[in-house]
Amino acid sequence: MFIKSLMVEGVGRFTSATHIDGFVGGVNVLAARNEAGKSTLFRAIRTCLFSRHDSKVQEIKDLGSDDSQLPATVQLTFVHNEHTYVIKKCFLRSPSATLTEDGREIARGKQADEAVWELLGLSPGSGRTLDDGAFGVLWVGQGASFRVPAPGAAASSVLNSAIESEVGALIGGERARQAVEDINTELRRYLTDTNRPKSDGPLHRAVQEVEHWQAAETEAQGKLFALEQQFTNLLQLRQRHQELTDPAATDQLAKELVEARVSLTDARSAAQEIRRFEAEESSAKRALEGASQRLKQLRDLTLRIDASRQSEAAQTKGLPEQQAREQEARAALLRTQEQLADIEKQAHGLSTQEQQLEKLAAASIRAMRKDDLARQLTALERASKELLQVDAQLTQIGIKPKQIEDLDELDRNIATLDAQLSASAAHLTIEVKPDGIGQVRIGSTQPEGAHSAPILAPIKITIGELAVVIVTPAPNVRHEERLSSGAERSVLLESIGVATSADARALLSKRRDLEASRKGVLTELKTLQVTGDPAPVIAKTKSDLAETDAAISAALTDTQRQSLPSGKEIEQEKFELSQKRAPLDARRASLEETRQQQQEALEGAVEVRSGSESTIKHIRKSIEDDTALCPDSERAARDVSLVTDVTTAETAHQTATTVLSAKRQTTPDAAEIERREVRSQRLEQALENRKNDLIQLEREIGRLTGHIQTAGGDGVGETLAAAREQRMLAERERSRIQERAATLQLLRDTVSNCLTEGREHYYEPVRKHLRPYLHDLFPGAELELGDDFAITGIKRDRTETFTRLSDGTQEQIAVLVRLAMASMLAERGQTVPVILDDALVYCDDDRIKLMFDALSRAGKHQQVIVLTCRLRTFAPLGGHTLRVQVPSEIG
Amino acid sequence: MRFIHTADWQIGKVFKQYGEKEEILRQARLAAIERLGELARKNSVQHILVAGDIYDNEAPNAITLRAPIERMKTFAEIHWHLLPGNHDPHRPEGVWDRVVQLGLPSHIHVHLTPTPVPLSDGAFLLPAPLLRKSEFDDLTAWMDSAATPAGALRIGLAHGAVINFASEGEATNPVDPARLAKANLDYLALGDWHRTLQIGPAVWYAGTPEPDRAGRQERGTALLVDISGPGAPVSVAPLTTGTYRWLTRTERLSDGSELADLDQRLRREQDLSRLILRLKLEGTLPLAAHAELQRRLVDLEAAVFHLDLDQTALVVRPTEGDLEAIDFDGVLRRSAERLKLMVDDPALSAETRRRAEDALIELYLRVVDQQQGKAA
Repeated sequence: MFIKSLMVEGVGRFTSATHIDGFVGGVNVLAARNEAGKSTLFRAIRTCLFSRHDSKVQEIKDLGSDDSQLPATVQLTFVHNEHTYVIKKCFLRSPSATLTEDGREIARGKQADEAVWELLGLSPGSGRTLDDGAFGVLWVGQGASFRVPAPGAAASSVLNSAIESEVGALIGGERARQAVEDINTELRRYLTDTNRPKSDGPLHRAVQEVEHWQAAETEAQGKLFALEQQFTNLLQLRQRHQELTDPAATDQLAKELVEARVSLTDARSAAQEIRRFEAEESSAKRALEGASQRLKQLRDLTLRIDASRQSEAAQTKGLPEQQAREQEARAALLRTQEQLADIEKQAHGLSTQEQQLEKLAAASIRAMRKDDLARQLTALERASKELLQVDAQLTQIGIKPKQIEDLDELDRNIATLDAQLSASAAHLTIEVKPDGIGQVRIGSTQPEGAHSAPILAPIKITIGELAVVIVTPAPNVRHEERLSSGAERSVLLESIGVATSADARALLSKRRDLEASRKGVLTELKTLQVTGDPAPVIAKTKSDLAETDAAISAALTDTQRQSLPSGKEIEQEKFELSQKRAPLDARRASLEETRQQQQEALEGAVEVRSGSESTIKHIRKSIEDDTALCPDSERAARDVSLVTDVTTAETAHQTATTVLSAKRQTTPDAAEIERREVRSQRLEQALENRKNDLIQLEREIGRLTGHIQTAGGDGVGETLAAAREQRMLAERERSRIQERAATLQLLRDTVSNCLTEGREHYYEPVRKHLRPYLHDLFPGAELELGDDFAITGIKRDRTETFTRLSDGTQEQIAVLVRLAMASMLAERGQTVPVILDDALVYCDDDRIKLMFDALSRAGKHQQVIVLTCRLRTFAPLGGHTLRVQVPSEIG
Repeated sequence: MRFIHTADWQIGKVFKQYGEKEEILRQARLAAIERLGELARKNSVQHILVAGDIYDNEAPNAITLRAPIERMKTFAEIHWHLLPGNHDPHRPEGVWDRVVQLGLPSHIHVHLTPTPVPLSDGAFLLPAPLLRKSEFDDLTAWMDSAATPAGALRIGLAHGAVINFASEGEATNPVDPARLAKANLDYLALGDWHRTLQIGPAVWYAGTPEPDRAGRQERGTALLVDISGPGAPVSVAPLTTGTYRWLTRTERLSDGSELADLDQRLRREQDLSRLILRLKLEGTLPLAAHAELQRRLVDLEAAVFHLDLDQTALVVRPTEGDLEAIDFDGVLRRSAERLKLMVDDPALSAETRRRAEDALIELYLRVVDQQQGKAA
């Protein structure tokens, strides 16, 4: 089939007759803007070919122009099997249909509808729908180009026929697919897609069942194990109980205890007896020691008495000699003391004379200082008087150097101002002629000869009686300043109390002279040791003078002299006294030494003598005391008696020692007693332990018995057996389902593999036709096809799932598959035009060129009609351009 | 002296693998006690000697504990002599103390110590109770020196494995088969072996009164023993006590032609509804025959009390016809052939081959079922 022309009227926006002529074989491009009616034309072609002319379905209602009173008319001219056919159908109003072949009407109305279908090999189907066969695959409406071609039954049949003519039928494919689907349906009950047991599925339940019974079995096993353990423990406890309650063993233990206790009692009694014998031995020993001690004391006493008596005799014998020695020493000392007293008396006289000489010497010295004091007093009084005078004058002159400095400053300022005024002032020059002398007076001055002065202030010039000229200088600002300074100086001079600056300076000079004089007086006073007010110093000097006079007077009185001797005389007298004193001092020292020695000798003699007396007294007292204890008359008798006591005590002690020793040989020692105590305690403890063990054991037996009875009552053995069988059953069921699933998986995989292999072989013709188109865009790529020509993936460097490709690529591949199908059909004589309405919208510039190459390749075998709004993109790609001709253009 | 010798009641045994039928089997064991009592009455027997394993385990629940006692109580004129076995050894506060604490009537005797017990007619029972699950010593040895009055009948009662039978017995509790002579016994009543078995002239295993597993005795039995006097020959007669028959069959199949015959033979067994059948199938079968077998087995399972099927030794060998039944050509046929190759590939593991076989059967069944569904 190949479309030649199309005419529409009352269709969509084409209210008047509109023609599209000039369709050619190969690629036809109808490029028009959006809403130009391209899709309307596409639907018009479909409706004209595949719909009954009298149909009132919505699709046809939608085809008509709005508010049009005309029928929707479509006329399609096409060539088929070398005949030209024109099918014209009017829809909605006055519906009609006519079909002409090579210009001859061959059918009308319903026959025309069906005749077209018959021509194109379409089946009207059982209902009102029409299976449009290959047209359904190759005519791609707006938006449909993205969908993978899914041929309908007729299209599939056509395609399958084409394939089977090349490679034969895919036998059993459908049954295999169904089988795989059925198996998968069952498998999905067992397993998830990741081969895990499906939640709540039979396998999952079986696994849970196994886990449940495993847990139950473990729990019951644990209980049974515990029960077993309890049985074992109970048996052991019962055996132990039997041992503990064995009367023979108990009797034996009790008997051992009695024996141990008796043995211990015996040992303790023996030990007590030993202690008594030990006490007796100790007592005898103490008695012996006492007797021996008393004998010894007696003998020591008698020996001491004898020794004391001998000592007393010796001391008494030496005592008179010691007393004579003491008397002699005492007399020598007395003599020496008398000589010393005489010497002391002489020395005292010399000392008195020496003291008088010292007083005279002192008075002489003070007499010599008396003149100095008198001179000093005079100088002090004079200087004091001068100071008072200068201070009185200084009080009169109050000028201060600062005032002179201020005055000098004012003078300098006034001089400067005067100089300035003078420089700028008029100059008065008067030459007084001799006749005029005395007549001319300038101010108060009477100049003679030439007189020249600047006029700084109004000057009154009196010329005798002739005239009084007053010269007034011109006003000058400095005048004010000058007057101010002058006034200031006047005030200052007045405060100083002088009339002129020279007076002031003279006054200051006078003050400075007075100050210099005062300084001199003060310096003089300072040399007189006066730093402040001289009056007290003067008073003290006067006092010193009076005191000196009194001292001299006293010295003369004391020495009974009329006048003070001279220094020389005093020194002579001192020398003479010293000549007397030297031998006197030597003698006194010698006597003092002698006295000291004699004193020591006396003390030694006294000490010896008193020591002897004391010793004798002490010995006598000792003898008195000792003889009181043991009179000489009783000495012998006592000695004999004590010797007898000692002998008796020795005998008694020896007897006690022998008895004790013999007893010790037969009595258990402390270690033995302790051992018997320990044994006795151990046996008592053993009996007690036995009793406690029995109580504990019976309690434990009771507890275990309770546990066992409880476990037995619970039927734990039966529970375990049941759980074990349930677990085994569950495991068998799980294994059965797992085996079933594995079997189904193996069967499914085997059938699937065989199906895939068959499908691969079956689809090879499709791939063969597709490959050139596909390689136009995707060099080296292969498509993977599923059931019913479904595209499942594309293999380039790797296999990619079709649905994960970009929308644009999916569309391009879908269009290429359609072209391949068209190509395959065309080879079998099924030339159906390929119509693409607004396809390839997502193609980039490079891809669109490649797609157009593919379209051009398809155009070699059949007609390709491209409806597009992409005017500029498609214009340069080639192909035959179609135009929509409105009536005016036709005209 | 006449008595019934029984053993291995195993009261309380669980049968979870039988699902809802478990309780029926448990009740059947109790019913066997009643049957023993009835047989005792019928045969004028005063004493029933139970040679151990009265209970299946030593910690039964309260109902299980009481259930056999209550059954025995209804036969008050009969003396029941119970002996602890390896399943229910006597231990302090164990199952037997619990039984005793229930307050037993005077005709139920629990023998917990190895002491001669007078029966009647001058006979003495010499029990050898087990005190542990496993004893390494022969507990019947005491019987050699057990004193009984001169001229008394000496009847030994023990539970264990007769030496040289230990490999088949349940426990390692040895019993010297020469004990009869050594202890001058007139009869040695043994338990533990779940099969009626004569060991010596007067040494017998009574077997269980109600079997509990396949592969041993088919029916529950007890022994009726008659001894006319000391040293006299013993007369032993088996008594049927069981309700259910535990049958084990191994059948070999080759091509499926024997299926009908097998079916008929099995169905000819008595009391199918009380038959517990363990059927082991061996050999090879085509796919179609295998499917036929499965259908027959479903029918058989409904006919018997329980069918325990073991087909692990049965191999499927698809024929050309089987494969054509799947498809003459095409994907499914190729799948079937590929699976068949796996089944026949000796390089693959047995598990893989078995799984391939199951997959092939599954494929066959699916296809055939589908075809039959369409045909219907």
